[in-house]
Order: sequence, then structure tokens, then C-alpha cells
Amino acid sequence: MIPFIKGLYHDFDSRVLRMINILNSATYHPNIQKSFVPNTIGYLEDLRDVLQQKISSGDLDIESIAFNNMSEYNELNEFFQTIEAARFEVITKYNGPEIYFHHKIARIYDEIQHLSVPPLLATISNSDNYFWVHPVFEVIGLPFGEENNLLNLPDLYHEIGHLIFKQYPEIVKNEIWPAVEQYFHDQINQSYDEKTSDHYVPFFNSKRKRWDESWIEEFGCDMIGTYLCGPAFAYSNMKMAAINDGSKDVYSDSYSHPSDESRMRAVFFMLEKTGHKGASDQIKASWDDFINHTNYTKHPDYKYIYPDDLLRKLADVVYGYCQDIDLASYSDQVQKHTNPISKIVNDAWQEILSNPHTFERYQQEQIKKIQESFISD
Amino acid sequence: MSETTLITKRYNDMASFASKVNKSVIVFKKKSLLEDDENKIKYPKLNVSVNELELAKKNLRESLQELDKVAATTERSNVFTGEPESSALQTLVLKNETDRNEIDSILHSLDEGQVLTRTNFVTLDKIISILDNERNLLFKKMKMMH
Repeated sequence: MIPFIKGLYHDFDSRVLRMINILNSATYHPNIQKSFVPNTIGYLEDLRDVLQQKISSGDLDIESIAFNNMSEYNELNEFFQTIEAARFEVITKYNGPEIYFHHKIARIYDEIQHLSVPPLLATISNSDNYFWVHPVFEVIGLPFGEENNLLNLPDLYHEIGHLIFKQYPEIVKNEIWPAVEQYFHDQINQSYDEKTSDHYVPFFNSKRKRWDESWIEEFGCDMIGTYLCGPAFAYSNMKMAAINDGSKDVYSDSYSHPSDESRMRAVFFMLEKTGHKGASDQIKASWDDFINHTNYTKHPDYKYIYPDDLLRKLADVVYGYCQDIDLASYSDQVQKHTNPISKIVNDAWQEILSNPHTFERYQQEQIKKIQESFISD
Repeated sequence: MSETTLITKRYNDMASFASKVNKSVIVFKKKSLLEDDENKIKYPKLNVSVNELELAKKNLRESLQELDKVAATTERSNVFTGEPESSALQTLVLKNETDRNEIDSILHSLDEGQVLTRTNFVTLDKIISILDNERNLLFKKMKMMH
């Protein structure tokens, strides 16, 4: 067992060194050569320090910690594989789409007045999972070919929301949580009064936990996305709800996600808050129509999970948060930049709804104009 | 947040927690070996500094007290009903009275500065093994999604 584990560690060390050498021996695109590549090498060198320290410490000779050494090996190996997938592959496959998104995200960050360094966008996502952000490595994964689309871009503003949340993780939560807690506390008390606590106490505790652990952030990022991208965010969200894979309906939730129906309401509250009541009413009518044409059934307890009062209050909190950190709302962007990316996306949604037959040509023309704007910068 | 984003976040939290427990246990096992002079000859590099021991004590104590919280995040949804299900951490450790008592005994030993026993280490390795599985499960999910 001991020679086997020692062999694994030495082999691992060689693999890490090999990856460092590959990265050091090539010159990559200037967009990533300056920081993304050196930072990746930095992660690998840190990993190598851990491995070398482990190898030279003598710990690998001790039988009674062999199990623990294997546990540590597995954890480090997973970290290495994550670097490989989220950074090394991004570097080696960095090409046209990534260069396009590099300029695009820089333009978006400038337009929304977000002062952080923009994340790296890479078309490495499994399309089933759409846009995702790696919270540690600050990489946003996009589906292959996404550089040819405009209609999904509002989702990018949602992912930017997660990075904004990560910077100031507790501000929104601390403001909204007392209201969430009070609401579920009252519901639980009422269930005791009405002698329905056997059913409702576990139900409310489970939903409160989900609000706590992921739904506040999820709703919050939808609302930041709406604040930044305006009505297009509602259309994009509606599209996501409509093309769900059939395993869930608009009323079902998961550990990570509140229901699509509640997310749409959250978006409508933020649209109203940011002065887009007309657009909100119009999209809401369309959404209601969509729901009426589906056969989704609403559980009688559904009405207790996402009350309007909580969502409205959350919209107030998120709006105040965006204002406090000086993020430019959709309207602010249009006023200052005339044709920001967020407006191009809103116009694209109007175009597909009005002229679907000619939309593809329109879309490619708009993407070409965006590309030309990078050259003129 | 896509499901991928959330799984990645949960993976990172779990990896960090499991690593903290494992590293602390390594320190305590080495400390326990140092009680026997023969081991100092067998493993000439064997050594545990006061700082290492203090940090391991603090981390292990905090981690054992946080196990309930971690177990709550390992809850999974039943694929058919969508209802939450208990994870291995919940059923094998936290709802098992013997393991519960053993965790309390370890916490007591840490507070009293006593050397951890072989039985203590069996329980701790069991916890690490379960945390490893949870972490690896999240890693596989994460890889499948990327």
C-alpha cells in the first residue's frame, strides 16, 4: 500500500509539472497571456508545492495515515482536474468566440459601470446546462456557437449578478432575511393554531431552508439581470421556462431553483421598480397566456411558498443594492451610451416577435456591428 | 444561477470542509504515534509542532460542531417525488446514537487536551470517508455538467 500511494503522488507531481511546462512553453492570445495564463500557472505551482511538501514530509511512509493520504490525494486530484477543465482547456482552445466575448463582456462591464475585472467567457459549456459561472476561477461557460446568438444574452447579465453577489455576499441577504424568517415563523405558528402542523411544519422548514441557501441569491440575480437588461430579461426567462426539458413544470422547485412561475413574478416586480411597467404588463399578459395553454397543475400549498409581499420587498432591497454600488440600470445605459449591448438585446427580442422570418439576417447584422465596434475602440 | 454554478459552489464548500477535517486528523494521528518512542525511530521525520496541533484542534472542534449544518446541505431530492432525502452523513453518523456519542467523546477529549484513541480515529475516518464520497459525488455531477 505504501509504495503504491507514494507512486501515485510522484506520478501526480509529474503531471502537474508537465502542464506547467506546456503553459510556459507557448505564447497565447494577448487577452489571456497577461493574467489568465500566469494565474493558471500560479494555481498549478501552488498545487505542486503541496505535493512536494507531502512527498518530502515523510507522511507517505506512515501506515496509519495511508487512508488519509489517499483522501488528500483524491481531493488534490479533483482540484487538478478542475484546473484542467476550467482553465487549461480554456487556454488551449481560446479562439474567435472567446475573443469576441472578451470584448463584449468588457463593453458590458463598462456600460453597466461595474468596476471589477470582467470574467473570462469560454464556449465550453454543455448546452443542456446553458450559461454557468465558476465562482472560484471566475470563468463563465457558454454553449458552443453562442457567439452567433443575441436572444440568450440576458442570461449573461444573470451570471454577472452571481459575481456581484460573490463580492458582497451578505448585503442583500442580511436585509431580506428577517422578513423571510418572520413570514415562515408566522406560517408555522398559524399551522399550530389550525392543528395542521404535522403537515406544514416540515413543509415550511424545507422551503425556508431553500430560501436561505439558494433562492434569495437566485431571485436576486434574476432581479439584477432585470435591472441591467430591462424587459429582454423577462423574455429570456420566459424562453427558459418554456423550453424546460419536461422533467419539471413552472410550479415545481428544486434545491437550487425556485419555480419558474415565481421567478417570472420576481422579474416583473423589478421591471416595475425600474420604470418598465408598460413592458412588464405586456410580457405578463403573454406569460399568463402561456401558462393557460399548458396543463401544469398548481398544488394547493404552492401559494404559501413565494408570497408577492416577499418578492416585492426583495425587489426593493436588490434595487437599493444596485443603486448603492452605482450599477447603471438599463435606462441609465441607454441614456448614456445610446446603443448599449442591453438595448441591442432588447431590440433583438422586439424584432423576433415582430419579424421572425427575417430575424436571423437581422441578428447577424447586429452581431457584425458589435464586432465592428470592438475594432473601432 | 445554473444548476452547474450551484453544484460547483457546493463542491467547493464540501471540499474545503472535508480537507479541514482530514488534515486535522492526520495531525492528531501523528501526535498519537509520537507517544510511542519506537515510532520516532521508525519514522525519523515524524514531528508535530505546537502551532500545527493548536490549529488542528481548533479546526477539528469547529468541524465536528458544524457537522449538522453540513449534513443539511447534503440532503438530496428523491428523483421520483422531489422530496428531500437524508444523505449518508445524516443517516450513518448524525442519526446513529453510537456515532453521536463518539463525536461527543472526541469533542470532550479535544477540550481536555487528551490524546485521541484508536476508537476515536475509527469514527473520524468513517466521517472522512463519507465526506469524501459526498465531495466526489458533487465532483462527478459538476464534471458531467461542464
